Amino acid sequence: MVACPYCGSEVEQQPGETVLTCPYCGTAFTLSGGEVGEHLMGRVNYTSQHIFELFKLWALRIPETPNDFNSKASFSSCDLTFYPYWVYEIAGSFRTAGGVEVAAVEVTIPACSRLRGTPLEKLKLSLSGKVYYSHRYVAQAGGKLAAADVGPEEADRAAVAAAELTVTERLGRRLKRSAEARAEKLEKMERKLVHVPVYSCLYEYGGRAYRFVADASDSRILYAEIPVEARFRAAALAGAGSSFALAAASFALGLAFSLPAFALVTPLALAGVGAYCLYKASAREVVVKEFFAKS
Amino acid sequence: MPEARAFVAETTSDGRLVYLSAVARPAQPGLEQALTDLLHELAHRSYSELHGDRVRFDALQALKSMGFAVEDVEVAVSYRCPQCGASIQLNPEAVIYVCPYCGWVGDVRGGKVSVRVWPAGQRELVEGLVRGLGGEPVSIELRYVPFWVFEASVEADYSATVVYRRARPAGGYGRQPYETRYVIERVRVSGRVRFRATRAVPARLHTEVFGGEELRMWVERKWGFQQPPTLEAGAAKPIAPSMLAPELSGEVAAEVATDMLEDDAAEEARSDARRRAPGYVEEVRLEFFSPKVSIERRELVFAPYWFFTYRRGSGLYSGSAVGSEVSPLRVELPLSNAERAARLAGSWLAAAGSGLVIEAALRWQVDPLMMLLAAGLGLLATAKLASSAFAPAKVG
Repeated sequence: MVACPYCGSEVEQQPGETVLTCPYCGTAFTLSGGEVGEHLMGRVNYTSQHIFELFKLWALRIPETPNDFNSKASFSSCDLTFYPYWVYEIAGSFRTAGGVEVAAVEVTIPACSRLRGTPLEKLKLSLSGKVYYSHRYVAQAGGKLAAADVGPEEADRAAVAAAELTVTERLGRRLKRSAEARAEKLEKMERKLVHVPVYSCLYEYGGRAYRFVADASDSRILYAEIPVEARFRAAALAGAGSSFALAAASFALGLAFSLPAFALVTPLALAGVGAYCLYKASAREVVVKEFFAKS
Repeated sequence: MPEARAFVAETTSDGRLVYLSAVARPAQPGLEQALTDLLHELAHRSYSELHGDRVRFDALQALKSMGFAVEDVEVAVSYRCPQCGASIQLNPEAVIYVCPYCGWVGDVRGGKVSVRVWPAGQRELVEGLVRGLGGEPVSIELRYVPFWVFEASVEADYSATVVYRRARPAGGYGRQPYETRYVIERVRVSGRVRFRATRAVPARLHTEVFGGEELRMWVERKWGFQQPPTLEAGAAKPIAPSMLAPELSGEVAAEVATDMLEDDAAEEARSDARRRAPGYVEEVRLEFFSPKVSIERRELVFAPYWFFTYRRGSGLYSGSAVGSEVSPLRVELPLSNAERAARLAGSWLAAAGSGLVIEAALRWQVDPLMMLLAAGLGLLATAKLASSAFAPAKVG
């Protein structure tokens, strides 16, 4: 148990947790009892049913989605989790090979190590619309809190590196060449801990369960498994069969007419087409990890 | 358990017009007045702080210090329309809204904002568009999508190194008289570029639009020849539920527009440097670049955007359209079975062709490089045609 530096309540530490959240006053603090800066949260602006309706509309834009998806896909369950991120506002001068670049950037660092390698790792947040953290709100929304195990010092280092990368990319885009930027003098480096509500939902289609993940504040779809329509799979299987048959026929033709190069290249290329058709026929779902806004 | 309630109209420390309400349990003499006074005090905090646990904790502590035996306090906040006084619940992201009760348009601080709206076309036109695609409409939804439009003048000083190739006739003793040689040379140029531009920036944090980039470009084009009329309160009220609330302030959007225009200026500077080189330019390297963007006009506009789904045969497809004339932005079109079969057959033919090309090249001893190139192109065509055969819809 660790005492909250603001209200004095005893707060239980979760395994691995390095930044604790007081469930009484919402203060975020380290194990040594230091406050980590403003603690904000994104609000839940979409119900799970609403997000499922939006997801179905979004999924229609994915080419492989079955045509009866809208009517046949049924909602199964949804978990709401508030994931922690460090959001920094960084401004200052950055040294480049050509001189000094003055820039202001906003960077997001996941404060939960289990987000690494998941679609949530690259989430970029804006501080716009974020309000002070309320544990009561999390409970009322039926959500749970993911433990923050990336401390502020580690996040600070990652934030400077991320800011340098952002400025490097910005300059690279503008100058059309590599222009590595290194932070020289940072006038502003403000850190905030932001808990972001994320839905992880299960739905059913054709007797199978699929998953999608969406931002509950702005409805961005962050990850989606979408079934592939059965008739496409059947057509792909027919295409595969025809391609392999043609490969065998062309091989025989090449040998019969003494065309060795033809007998080698054409059957191989046709077998390649057959393999691709077979791959399409075997895929029962497509996985999309792109943001809604980019579709 | 009986409750004490309080309700006040206030302005937060960050200038937002709000209603604050509080409920404290259990009710006791004098608690409602104390709660009302407390809400006036709490309003000195920011809008963001009023949502947090800390404000509730502080309120509870304050009431206890006044001698009230209070077990729990709830504090709630909503926006207050400065014209009709309606209580309005908005997402915290919203920075500008249209009051659905009186049609007032303004920011969350109570400042009136002038917005312009292009009129939407009739629903029948969307239905006509769908029928023109050979389908039957399933759902049609109208949304007014907000954009900040900026008119700006841009100026940038630059210096660049231009690497170019120049033809140098070579002749004279021991050489062919008309021989031409190419030499690579460098020249350092500097100059200033100036231009005026219009940029549209979506005023939503994440625009949930099918064909979002096409819509942005439509706004920029349309602004050039037909600026929309200013929205009056009477006209705003009926369309308010369809208007997406802007989530990006004009200042933040101006930063985005400035960034885009600085990129454009860098491109313009490169083109300028390219024009000044006396030969075929191979590379332009900007050494110094100092842009200055002056925003001369800023307007908030709403574009009428239709999203529709339609059925054709057994397939369900989606599409979007914009404006009074309902111009299609992005539409999914079915790909017929005959087209699919043709694409797959095409891939088979390309595979057969590749084999025959290599066979012929080997027999007639064609340059191996040419042979590899021809075979490679044939195999690439095979792969492309095979993959396109399984695309379930065309997007146009």
